[in-house]
Amino acid sequence: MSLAKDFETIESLEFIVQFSVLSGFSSLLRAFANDAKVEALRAKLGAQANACQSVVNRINQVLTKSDVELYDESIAAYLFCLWKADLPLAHKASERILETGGLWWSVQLALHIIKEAQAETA
Amino acid sequence: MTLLPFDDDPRKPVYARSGWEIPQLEWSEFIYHSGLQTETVVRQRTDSLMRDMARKEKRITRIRSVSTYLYNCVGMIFANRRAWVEIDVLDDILREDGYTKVALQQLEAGKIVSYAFDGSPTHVGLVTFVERYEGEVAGVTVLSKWGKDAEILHPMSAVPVIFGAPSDFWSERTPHVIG
Repeated sequence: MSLAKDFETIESLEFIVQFSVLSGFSSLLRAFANDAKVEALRAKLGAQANACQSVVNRINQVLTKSDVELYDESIAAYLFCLWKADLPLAHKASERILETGGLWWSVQLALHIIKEAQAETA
Repeated sequence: MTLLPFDDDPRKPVYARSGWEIPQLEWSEFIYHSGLQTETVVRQRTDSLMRDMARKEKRITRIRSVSTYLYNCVGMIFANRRAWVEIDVLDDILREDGYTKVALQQLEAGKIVSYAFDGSPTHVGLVTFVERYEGEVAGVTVLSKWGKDAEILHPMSAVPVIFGAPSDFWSERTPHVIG
């Protein structure tokens, strides 16, 4: 499956509502870690050159959508994959996410990543 | 990045019966100030979820409410729909509020059902109706808030796969029998 196809899957309502029903940040991280679609994207980030940058670009595109809050779980899933593959890039994407309103899980993960990146550089 | 306290923090403390302050996310203040979800989006997600449940032959009773205010299943039951309280503190709340486990046979309206997936707590709901047949529990209806989405009235087992299954039943009181 191509990266574009992964993006389409992760931005589908079917994918989004699997995670929007969760009631805890740690539940979300566990669910992402066990999800086959998220795992498929993670595998590509480790195997394909420039795949991480493509995910960053995709996050930036989704963040400009007028109904961006609908894609909270999609953005969080992208950021989760990026976090596992490339922490500095995930840190940059996190700072961009914090500039956007209406997001819940994405902001929590972004803040978590920023803290981790800061701890690593300290 | 350091999160500085806002002067107009909308979060208010929530206490258990023991006086223990139920923790709220440190970043929820930031999120409240960055704007919340719109009703259109909550409805879109809820509609999609209902279609998905119907495909899996898990039919809910009805959607009770759709709110843009951010509270979850724990906040619905233990904070009067005023707060998002992480599911990870559910056991602490039950203990600090003096809840005890009860058996399925003891279920009645007002009791609590908790759900778990792979041993981890995922969800909590309020029992609203227990149907009995020849003394045995034949059906349980539960009211619960599904994450950021709607409040749903549903059969106890008609929940998203990610919630797992009902794990325990709880009561905060001892039954009173008129003597």
